[in-house]
Amino acid sequence: MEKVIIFLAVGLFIGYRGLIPEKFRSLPGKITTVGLISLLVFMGAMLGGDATLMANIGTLGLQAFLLALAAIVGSVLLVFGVNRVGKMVAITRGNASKTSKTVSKAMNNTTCKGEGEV
Amino acid sequence: MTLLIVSSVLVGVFLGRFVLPSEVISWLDSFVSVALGILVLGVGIELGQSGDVLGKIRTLGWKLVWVPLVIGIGSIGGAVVMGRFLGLPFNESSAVGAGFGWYSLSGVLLTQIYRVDTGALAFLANVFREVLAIITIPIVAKFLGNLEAIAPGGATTMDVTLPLISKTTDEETTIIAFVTGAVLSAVVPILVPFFIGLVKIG
Repeated sequence: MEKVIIFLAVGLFIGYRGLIPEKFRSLPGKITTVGLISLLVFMGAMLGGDATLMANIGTLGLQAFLLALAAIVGSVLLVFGVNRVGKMVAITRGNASKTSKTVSKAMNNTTCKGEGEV
Repeated sequence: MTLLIVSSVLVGVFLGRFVLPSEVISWLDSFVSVALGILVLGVGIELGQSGDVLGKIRTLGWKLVWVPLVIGIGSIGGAVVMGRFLGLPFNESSAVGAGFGWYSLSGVLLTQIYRVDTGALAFLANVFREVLAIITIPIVAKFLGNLEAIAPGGATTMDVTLPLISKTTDEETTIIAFVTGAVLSAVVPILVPFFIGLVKIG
């Protein structure tokens, strides 16, 4: 975990200071794509090569799968809901204080449907 | 992108299960570490090139608080609701949900302080969470929104799923995702023992 923070910090420094020559500007994007695919293959192989995991996948697997799915659905829906409420609050506040900047920004972010629900 | 991601994982599982000899399997941990290091370096460079990250973090303020909090509550809540259907006690389903995708830690914690089968359930459920996150992040990003796309990853958004979020959303979301993953990772070792201890065993 510390390693992740160090690598990220080094990357931020390199990117922010513009240490990558203009010619190789697209390099970081390519690195992440190739790296992502290999990471996923390696991780899949770790799971596939884990005999205990593969043996247990039938018995506990369905329960585990459903719990994971529910945790994901729960968190996505809650973020969606809070995000929506937050945008509505931004509109109400913006109208009250007449800060045109907030209003226009909030208006841009909100659909007609969202306003109808208020 | 989604198809490529899913097939990469499946190819990996197939290789690990049927092709690779066990010596190679034991090196995979290091391969993953190296690949992750390179990836995160790439993400860092991309974020850095996009400009003043610290300044952006300051403007993100409120989102950096509520996004991790809401993802945490939603994960545990979802697991508890599903746990009721599956006939699991509250303390077990909430503790499994509080793993936030960090399978190694939540599995080991529950095996040590509670029961082996619950540890195995937490391990598998959080493996599935990571795999399902890899599959659902691009879909959620496309159809619901960027902030919502952080949610499936849970604690993994600071490492394994960070490059994926950076590919499928924008820079602002990537920064929020990293902070969210870091916050959720930090509370896993606190929340898992807390929830499992809510009910006395036997």
